[in-house]
Amino acid sequence: MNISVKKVSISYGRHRAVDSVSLHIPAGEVTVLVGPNGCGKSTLLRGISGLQSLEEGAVLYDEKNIRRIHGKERAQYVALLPQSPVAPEGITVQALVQYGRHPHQGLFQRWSKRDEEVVAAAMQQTGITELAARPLESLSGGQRQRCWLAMSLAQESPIILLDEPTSMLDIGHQSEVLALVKQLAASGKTVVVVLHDLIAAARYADRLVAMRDGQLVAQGKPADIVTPELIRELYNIESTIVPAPGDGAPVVIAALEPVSC
Amino acid sequence: MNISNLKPVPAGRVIRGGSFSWVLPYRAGLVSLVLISITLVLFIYALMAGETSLNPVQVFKSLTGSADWATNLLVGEVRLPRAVAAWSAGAALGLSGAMLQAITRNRLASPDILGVNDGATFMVMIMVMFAASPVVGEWRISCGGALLAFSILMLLSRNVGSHGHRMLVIGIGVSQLFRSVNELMLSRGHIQHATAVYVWSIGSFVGRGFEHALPAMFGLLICVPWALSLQRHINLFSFDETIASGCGVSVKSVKLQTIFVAVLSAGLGLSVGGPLAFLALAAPIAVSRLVRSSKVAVVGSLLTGGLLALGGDLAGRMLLAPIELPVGVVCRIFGGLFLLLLLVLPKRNAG
Repeated sequence: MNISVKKVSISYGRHRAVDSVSLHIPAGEVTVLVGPNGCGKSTLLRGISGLQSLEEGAVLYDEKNIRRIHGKERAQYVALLPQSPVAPEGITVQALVQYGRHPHQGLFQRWSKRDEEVVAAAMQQTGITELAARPLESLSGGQRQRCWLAMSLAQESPIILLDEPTSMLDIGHQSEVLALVKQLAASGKTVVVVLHDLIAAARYADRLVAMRDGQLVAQGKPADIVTPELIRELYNIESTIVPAPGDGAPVVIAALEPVSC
Repeated sequence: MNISNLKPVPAGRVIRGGSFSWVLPYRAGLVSLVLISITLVLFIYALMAGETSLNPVQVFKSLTGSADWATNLLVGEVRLPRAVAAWSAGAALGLSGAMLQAITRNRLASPDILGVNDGATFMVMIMVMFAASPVVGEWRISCGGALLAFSILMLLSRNVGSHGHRMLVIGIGVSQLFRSVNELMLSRGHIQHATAVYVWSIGSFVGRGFEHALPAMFGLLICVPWALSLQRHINLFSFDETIASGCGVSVKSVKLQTIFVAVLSAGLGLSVGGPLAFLALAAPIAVSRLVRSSKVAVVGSLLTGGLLALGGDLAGRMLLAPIELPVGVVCRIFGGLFLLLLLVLPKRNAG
């Protein structure tokens, strides 16, 4: 399912967090939003999810305007994993993943055969099957993040939005989670991820979207758009870009002295 | 890896037929059965015990109407109605506490905090002050008082805030306001009025009967199915609200409905015998300890609330017999101890 973002603006009170952003997000690719803190990328993500109401513009899933999608139906279109989500105390891994089935359940449809299969598959895909009976709190950060991903997967939505899924993880768990994200896109889902780490972003994104002050600065393949000029525009620093060994993805190395301006 | 033995199991027995599917939770089911059994035993004991103690045979006979005139009167007109009143009051309060605690994700939330008790006391006091006789006649007015407090709360807070926290904080203010007005009126009013209101504000089931229990029972017939239909949505409030709405819950509507049901059932509960301290707070905590689940226990809290009120009233009647302790006092003594015990004991729970 493709997403079209058309001249979307979102404000908090007087502050315009997202300012007339237009984007096309294709299915089967990982689209990564980057930019300095407070640039509006998380707000844009919430706008795309339909949880944040738009001040102007429209978001379309294929041809369908999200203004006309509500509640349960919306949750069947899109799964949003917020930054550092909070889980109920003492919850087990399988109980967590089962909550992902909520939009497919009803008062008298509490646990169908399909629910069971999808939850099993989601746990399998994220490699947490062995952890099923463990309390979430007892797991490492990377494992926990995979459990949350499994919950999102259990929603069976064609669109998956992740807000900084790797922010608390070490490099090992980070690669593990991002590889999984890449795999999801390869299976045909539309994946949008907010990331802080530019190296990881450039490495795992099929399409990179850079924002600053609520506006779109650049978008395209990482290799095409990641330049010292872009980094200066986004973060006010000088940098050197070198190709990563192997795939040649651009690696940003910040200069020691920040630009004075 | 063999998929077949990797089935995710919900903690209960799955029942499926056509598009219907349901999970009967083992532990919650067991706890409910135990609660019901204890309640039944207490019920029978409440009918037997008292100044004139009866044996089970006499009780059974009087229930079927075949005992002598005096026993029939004692059981049918005094003890049974009072036990039913106590149970229904406690059940309504237990339900209310469960709903509020789940939606606010706060174990210390209870209808008292929302100003429901003080609003009800306010209305009762107005009525006592301006009625010709100092006797509190229409206790049901307290339900109106609870709803009045709630309306003021809604007007002031406009939206309930994340997890209803905004509402809780404003509720504390509203209840303080009511309390100060109440105390002002008490200090200026006639001593007889003050006594009548004091008895009410402590909570007692003396002379309570079917006519008081009936509105609460009827209200429960509305509140319980409503709460049950909200239950699976409320469960998602144990996450943050972004996750709840991301899973398709209409967060705003569920919050409002939940708080409304909580206030309505609290109002109904305390219209029976006045506010019972700690009950709405303790019942849901006790159940979640027994069931060891983070899910909201609608039925469990209802049963526990009823059990505690019935047991409390019975204890009040028996402990210092022939002197009767108001159930409110019993609730305060045991409720406080119970709560401390729960907070101090290490907890074990699982999803």
